[in-house]
Amino acid sequence: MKRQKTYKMALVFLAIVLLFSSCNKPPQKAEKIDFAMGTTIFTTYYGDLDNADEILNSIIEKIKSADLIMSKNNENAEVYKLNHSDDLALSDTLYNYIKNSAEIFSHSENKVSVSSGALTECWGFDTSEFRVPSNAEILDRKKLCNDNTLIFDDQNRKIKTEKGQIINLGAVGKGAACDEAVNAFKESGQKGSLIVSVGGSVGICGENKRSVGIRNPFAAENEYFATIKIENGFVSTSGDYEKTFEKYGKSYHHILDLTTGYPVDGEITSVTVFSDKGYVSDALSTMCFALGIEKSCEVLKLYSSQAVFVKKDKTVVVTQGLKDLVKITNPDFKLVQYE
Amino acid sequence: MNRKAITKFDIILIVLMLLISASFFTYQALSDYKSKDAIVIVNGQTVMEINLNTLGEKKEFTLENGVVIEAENNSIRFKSSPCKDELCVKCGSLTDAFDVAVCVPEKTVIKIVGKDEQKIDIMTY
Repeated sequence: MKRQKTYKMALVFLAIVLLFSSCNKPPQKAEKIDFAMGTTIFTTYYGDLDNADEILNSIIEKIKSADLIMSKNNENAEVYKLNHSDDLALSDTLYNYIKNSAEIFSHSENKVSVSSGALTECWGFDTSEFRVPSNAEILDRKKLCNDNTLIFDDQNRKIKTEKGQIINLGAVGKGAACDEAVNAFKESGQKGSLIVSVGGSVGICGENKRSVGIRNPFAAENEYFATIKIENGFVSTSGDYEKTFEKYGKSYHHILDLTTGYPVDGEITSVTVFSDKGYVSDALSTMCFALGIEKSCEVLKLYSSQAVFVKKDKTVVVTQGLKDLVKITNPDFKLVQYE
Repeated sequence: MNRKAITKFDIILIVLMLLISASFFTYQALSDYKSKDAIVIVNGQTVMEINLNTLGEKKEFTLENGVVIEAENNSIRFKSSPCKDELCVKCGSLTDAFDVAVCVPEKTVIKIVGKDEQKIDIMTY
């Protein structure tokens, strides 16, 4: 009798050991890395690995087709066609992205717009052939970058622009591509969870909290200074370290203040925004970068969004909603306040 | 009959159990360690897998697109690239799981894949 009891205990013990060892294993996941929108796409799927390849391929295809809608430079893309025609009926998808983004940018005091193409093109930010335009050129182009001159025709899904105006979804495209990817994943009804990153705009959808590293603005592009825990939603970051060039000893970055025509020169070096939509987080991160911390906090509330601001002196400001989700991992950075 | 609380048999069984569990965890730890590999992806396709534990001395790999990758024990980096800005080279050496460096112009990615826990799942930048 006694011996039988010991056997049983031994079995229970073994079962516990096995259980522990299986807990230790990382969850089943598959990854794919590709390129589109002139940047890197990371996709990770957690779940049944039998279909993983198929799922990730379809997600990447979805992002590439989003590129084919929103690219300003690709002749086959819808935005390119819009910029090169007078009377184009747009797809629902594109029409809504442009209209909704213009609505968000209407809070930017004219610093950011969806019709920024005239200026970004003359700086060469779209083609990476950077140059500093003359003052006269900037004054001229600036006039073409205001969304107030756009006329939206909801019925026919048409957008009328002024002559010379160029629609540019650079500030929302990557976030919108994350939206498209996550929506496609949800619609497919697949179990499991998904992480997608299009050029640093991130979409997360699933059952587990994921840890997103926020780039250290003062270090190489694969270093982070803080993490943010997210289960569902989108994160985008705008910083003055992307697409930079130097001319005559001065450094220029790609986020233009459309009221001056020159790169934004403010207190912050990067902003990360968390929203429930990808294009919203992308649009807001650009806009918050241009607006500065105080004004940004008012606008963030309108879109139920949260943000992490990094100032040039390495102090960090986090909005209340992210209080428990953001963790600073690099001791050079100091969290100074919650807004 | 033997009515002692702990018999010899019990002790043998306990020791056996401890041995089994210890070997389990050691095996796991070892297999995690062994699995530290680096992958090189060009244009979405994995073109090379490098085991960073058995490498021994420094090795250089030149890819078809002209990118040069340098690997040594437990680390890998972009040594040079035909791209203009060489942001990939500035990323330096990769050592931890999920450490990743990208050369966008040459559509090349190097990445550490290991079974040890990732510190982060993704980056926003």
